[in-house]
Amino acid sequence: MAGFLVRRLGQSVLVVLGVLVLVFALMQLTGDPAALMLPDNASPADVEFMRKKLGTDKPLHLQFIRFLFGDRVLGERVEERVVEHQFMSSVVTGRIREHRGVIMGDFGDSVRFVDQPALPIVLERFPLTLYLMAVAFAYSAGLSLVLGIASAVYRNSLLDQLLRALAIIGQSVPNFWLGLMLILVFAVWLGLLPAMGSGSFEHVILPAITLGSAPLGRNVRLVRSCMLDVLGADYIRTARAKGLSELAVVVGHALKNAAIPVVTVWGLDIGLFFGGAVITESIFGWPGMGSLIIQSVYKRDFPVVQAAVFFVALVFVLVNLLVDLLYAWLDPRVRLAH
Amino acid sequence: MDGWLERMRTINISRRGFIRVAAKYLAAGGAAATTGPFIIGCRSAAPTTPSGGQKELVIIYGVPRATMDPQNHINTYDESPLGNIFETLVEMDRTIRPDGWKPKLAVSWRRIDERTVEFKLREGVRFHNGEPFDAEAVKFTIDRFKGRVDPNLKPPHLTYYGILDRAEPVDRYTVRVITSKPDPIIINRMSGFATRIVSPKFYSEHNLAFLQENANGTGPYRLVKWVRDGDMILEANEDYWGGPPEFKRVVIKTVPEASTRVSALLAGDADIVVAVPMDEMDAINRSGRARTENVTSNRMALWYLHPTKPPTNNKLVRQALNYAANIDGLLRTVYRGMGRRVATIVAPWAFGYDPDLKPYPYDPDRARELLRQSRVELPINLTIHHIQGRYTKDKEMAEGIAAELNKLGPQFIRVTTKIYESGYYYSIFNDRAKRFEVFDGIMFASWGNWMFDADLYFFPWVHTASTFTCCPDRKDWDALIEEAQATVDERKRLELYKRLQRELFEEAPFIFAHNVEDIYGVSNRVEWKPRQDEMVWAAEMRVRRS
Repeated sequence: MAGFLVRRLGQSVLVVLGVLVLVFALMQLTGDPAALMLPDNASPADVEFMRKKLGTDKPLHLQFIRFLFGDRVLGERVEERVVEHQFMSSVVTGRIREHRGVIMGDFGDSVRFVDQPALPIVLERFPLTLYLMAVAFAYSAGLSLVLGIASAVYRNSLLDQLLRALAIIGQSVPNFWLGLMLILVFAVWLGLLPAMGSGSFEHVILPAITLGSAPLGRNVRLVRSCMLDVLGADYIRTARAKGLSELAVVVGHALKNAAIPVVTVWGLDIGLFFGGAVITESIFGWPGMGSLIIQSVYKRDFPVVQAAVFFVALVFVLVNLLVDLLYAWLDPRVRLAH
Repeated sequence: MDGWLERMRTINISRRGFIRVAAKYLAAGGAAATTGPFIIGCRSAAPTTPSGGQKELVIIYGVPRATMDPQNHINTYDESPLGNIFETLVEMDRTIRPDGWKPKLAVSWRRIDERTVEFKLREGVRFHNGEPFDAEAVKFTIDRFKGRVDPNLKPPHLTYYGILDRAEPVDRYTVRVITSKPDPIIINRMSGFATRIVSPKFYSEHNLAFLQENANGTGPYRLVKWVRDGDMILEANEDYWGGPPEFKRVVIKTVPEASTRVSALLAGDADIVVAVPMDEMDAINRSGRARTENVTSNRMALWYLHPTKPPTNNKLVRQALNYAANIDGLLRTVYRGMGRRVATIVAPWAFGYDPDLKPYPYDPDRARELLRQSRVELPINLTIHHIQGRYTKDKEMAEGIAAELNKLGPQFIRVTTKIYESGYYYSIFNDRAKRFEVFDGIMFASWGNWMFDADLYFFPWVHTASTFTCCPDRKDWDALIEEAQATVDERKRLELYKRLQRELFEEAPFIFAHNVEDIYGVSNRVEWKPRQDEMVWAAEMRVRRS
């Protein structure tokens, strides 16, 4: 088990490094960041200073090292200074300070929220997104287990057919459309739930259903087919032959074995949730990380986008690491195979 | 177990059989729905109230606020909510006109000389933290945006306010505002953005980061809390000099998705929503719970023609485009008859407007003739570079203009449209060198003039020193613009702007277009008419008494 853990940890570190390369490249895609960040009437001295500050006057590999470990690793000292930035159609002033490297959690300062470090802005918004994702996950995972098992146990019944049809619909409906329809029906027509905003549990219901419905549809189908595989196995027949109740057979014997692929998919769902949250949060005006990312992209606030992308990737990697460990616990063959 | 569930569980049905049965029921359901009451307004039409009760007001914008510091931004969508908290010495009337200046924190004013205006201030006004409002506060406000309080504050609008040099208190409630050069529009400059009055003690004690999130003004509402990209919560200032506002608590929210804003209004979760899509107006007005209110806005749409690249560097081509674009026709069809056509770049209510100058008429024959005379190689190929979804019907207008121009015939002109994400678009458009290099043909532009004066059209769009200049070769106009900027005599100034408008009309560096329409959704429990200057102020709203 320890060997498995070390191997998986090593792989995760590699993935995170890869993400950092991509996040670093994001900044390079925009051409000369100094030109982008300074007003067009900036003095050559300011442009020079900004290039030096951003490190874009150095070869690419040194820039990456600086991005990771900060100015000090390259033996440079940066004095604090206030400079003007171009920000959309206006000019704002921003502080130039020493870059401490992403290793210290420093992605630079936000352009939109002048002088505020990017990562804390992202972290400040994360709890709301986490809350939304948790409710969406509880909804999609919990309901998919119940419905998937019912569908499998009553295979080919009307219930099964109905659930499978609903699952396909849930999976194929785009979430922005579903979100708008839910608002129309539950907020405008029925007046049962708020149309947007955050604050109470009522507010999270519609966004969570919007976010969780695609994974729910897929997971119902997955749980059903996994359960069907397992229910046909010899040891289930043995369990039934022992005279166990159907409930004990399904929940006690079949479920744990059927759960292995399902748990893996749950881990992947986290990525889907982050992606979906960007759209869902915009539709419902939910002030979480998704809407932060959209606004930051829109306003070309690169440090915040970089911090957010990195943070999302980090959470995704960690969750999948956890899922793999759970997987190994559920199925001893996984850890033995390595 | 319930009977129906028991049946569903036990009835065996093949997939094909299920699809056959489902299709039958769906068809029957569809037929019933088309004859049934399948409309929004089927529920009781009683206006609903957001959860906070009668005295709470919810306003939804599409764009989040960037700061609570009134002197450190240049966005209308920050200026509008901050106007609930901070006030100015003078204020433009709801309906904009050159003589529409009204007293606010100043009760009267008089011009002393070309560089000086003296203001008598309202007495007994206090800031939300109890500091008194007086001449020192006015002096401090100007000192602050000039960088004399915190050198780290370098406001983005110094181009327009930098001319304000200082304020000198005469006595406690009299102050003189002095400009560095003769300035005919001192009054206009004292009406917003950099000149929203801030309190000396509060704004010198705290650093910029703190002041980005906290506010202290004299206005009818005080800031309770602001969450970045989230809600901004205001409570009524019960000691307000103009009397306490009717709504005691105001929540300003952000919902980027327009359909959600409309739904929130219809569901009773919001009282005022901004930027309602034109296509949703009918649904709101049919609902019985809310209505739309619209006003021709101070914001203008322009179609910028590339001044140096062919074929738009040819004056006859530019005139031909103005004759062929059929802006009036597009306003009727695409804009549902709203908006207001303008002859050049000056809005009808701004100082300097020339009422005798009529817009280019729709005359495709004249356009063809001009194209023939222009001696450019026909057909000309043009691209319209534009954005989508930022302003009412921006994409549709671009496509409409393309279609109208193409009606001249393929032997004359071929126009295509190219759509951009707006952040990217403006990163090019707002950069003079990039704009000239990357774009060609026709470019979308828009401009909100917040001083209601022709200078704020001519300087940014025409003067060769400006980023947005239409005409980098017309240095002769710079002298006229600068002369108008420094002419205090109103009649002389008006003549200068009339001359500029006529020459601009002839030169046609834009397809001159129209002022846009601002459309708001308003709950039926609220009485409010929108202002022309895009400001949404809660103190102007009342509970509707039926």
